[in-house]
Amino acid sequence: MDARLLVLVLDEVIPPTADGRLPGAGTLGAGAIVQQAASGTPGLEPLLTQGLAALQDIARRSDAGGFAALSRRARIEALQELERANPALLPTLLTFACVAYYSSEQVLIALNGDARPPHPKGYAMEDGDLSLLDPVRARGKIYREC
Amino acid sequence: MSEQTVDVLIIGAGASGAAVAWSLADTRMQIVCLEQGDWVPTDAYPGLHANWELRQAGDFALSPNMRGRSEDYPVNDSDSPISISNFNGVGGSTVLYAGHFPRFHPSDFRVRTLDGVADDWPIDYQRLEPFYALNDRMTGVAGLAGDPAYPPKQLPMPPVRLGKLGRTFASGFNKLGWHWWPSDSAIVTEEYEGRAPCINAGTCLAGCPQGAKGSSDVTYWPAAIRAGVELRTRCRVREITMGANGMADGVIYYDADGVERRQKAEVIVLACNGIGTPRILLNSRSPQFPDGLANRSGLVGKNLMFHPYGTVSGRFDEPLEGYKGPFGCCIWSQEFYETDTSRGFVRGFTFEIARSLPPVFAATWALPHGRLPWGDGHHAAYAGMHDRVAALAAICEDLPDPANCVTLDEKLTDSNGIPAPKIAYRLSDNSRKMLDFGVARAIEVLKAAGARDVIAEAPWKPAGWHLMGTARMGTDPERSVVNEWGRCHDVRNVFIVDGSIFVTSAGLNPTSTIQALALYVADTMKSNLANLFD
Repeated sequence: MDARLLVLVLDEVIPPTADGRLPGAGTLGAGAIVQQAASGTPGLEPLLTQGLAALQDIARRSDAGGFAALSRRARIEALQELERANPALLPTLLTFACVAYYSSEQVLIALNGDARPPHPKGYAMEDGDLSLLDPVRARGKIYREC
Repeated sequence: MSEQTVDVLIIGAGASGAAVAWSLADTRMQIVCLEQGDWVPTDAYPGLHANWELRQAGDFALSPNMRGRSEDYPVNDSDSPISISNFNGVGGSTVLYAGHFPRFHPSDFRVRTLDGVADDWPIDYQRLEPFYALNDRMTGVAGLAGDPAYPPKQLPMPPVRLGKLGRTFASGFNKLGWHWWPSDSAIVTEEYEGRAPCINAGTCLAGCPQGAKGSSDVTYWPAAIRAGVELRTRCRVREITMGANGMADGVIYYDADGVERRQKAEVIVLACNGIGTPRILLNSRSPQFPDGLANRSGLVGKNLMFHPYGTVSGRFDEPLEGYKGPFGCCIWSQEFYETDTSRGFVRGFTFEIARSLPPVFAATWALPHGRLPWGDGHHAAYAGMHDRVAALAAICEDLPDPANCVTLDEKLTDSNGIPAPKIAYRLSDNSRKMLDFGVARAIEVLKAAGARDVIAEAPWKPAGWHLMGTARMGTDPERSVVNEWGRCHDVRNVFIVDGSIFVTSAGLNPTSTIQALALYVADTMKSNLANLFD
């Protein structure tokens, strides 16, 4: 699998945020997750390898330098063409990109303000208002005697 | 065979094996439990790391096929719309369960009498009630007395917190005039028997490093071991062997090094649940039992029941703070639990409300439904979902059908070369109608609570964690595998105490009933020690 191409593609699948706070999924390292999954999942490696090769073929029709040489707009158009020809590839890449992206420290800090693990501190939370149960209690028993 | 014969050999250290081991320990008999997995050390749990969700797709995945640990056995579930989820280790699947802990209802034991389907159980709610109560105390169950969906019961400690998310859903149920109640949860909400309370970390399905969740490695096992039970981990049973007198005489198993060993026993207790137990019985062939041990009825492996899940999620405008709190335990509704034939099906379901989906789960949940695009629209779409997506599930009662079954795969084996189980399962017409009805009502609740962009999935494929019915209980040896106290009709020193002996599934999580049954079987064994094999 072409690791450099994979990074470029993943940077289009989940691109950097417009404000520059977060990088794209490829730059963030999602490629490692994809390659790890590919090595352990039957059928995934050929799907990815063949899909990326097809993408390069599409890109080279526009520029002999391939996908890396294209403008962002042209890269997206190449991916859209690939999506029409091979509908399985991009959803697969997006799934792995999401797993890597939304478990990364950098993204979690951006989303939640911190990236600490849930344990051992946990979270404080409101108790909730059990008087909301008053109408349920008022209705009475709903199970069958037998 | 080993020269030493133990009094009782328990196979499996999960929910039921732990309970039966603890209960039998006070007899002072020599008790050994063989468990194919190992203890999970506290510091091994993913929740101690910021990227904990990643490991739910790896070594802490719910699916044994995805997890792929050497102590797991693979399951061929390609012929089923619902895939198998479990865990192999001390505590069994309770290590990764949500901790939902509802009891069966009285009507669940009288299905044939009340609704004309399946079979009545040979025992009833009143018979099991003291064992439910004992199990609640041993496990440390939190809940609120007075639920009008149940006969009166007392629980050891206050319920889990509703939180903002629970309050939001409760308001939705109230708008519709439907039942809801804080869930009975195997999660300690205050200091209990040396266990620290829940800290609302939300990683329950990846294990609880806090020890607040009542997995049986932290509830029954410490007490059972203190009482003298020997627990041998990384010991995988291949088969139960028969002696000359029509009784089983022990097992053949593989130790952690893969060395074949034998263990003699006077009594054997199977506690491997609805897939593992029939697998061992079917692998235990002998001249007396060419089709598998205790299988003269032909029912070993038959009548597999899941709980088909109709899962519906929606997006709320406000953050729900739903990452706070035990993931699966919040509130439930049993508005549609009891049969109403005007709905077009018999029996019913429980609604269970989960907390909001954590970041990776939220993203991957939305993907198959086209709600999270690739490219420039991705970040805006995700921002609209983060901490705003919540789900509820209709947990539907599945009726027994002999065509739904566990057999042995002809090619697939575990790491010791033991044939792996193969599942064949189809949704019944009744289940399909119940799922459709449940999804429609779930959408009503979500909308009443303020959600939009609703997504439904029914049946939810990964939800094959409740495994029941494959060695059913009954009084007729032609129509059941074990009698009314768990003893195999065909082999009188082999007992089964797990979900495989369920006659019907009810429409709720089974662990409370599995453990109550195990305690009841153990209690009956103790009462009949003098004539256990008569």
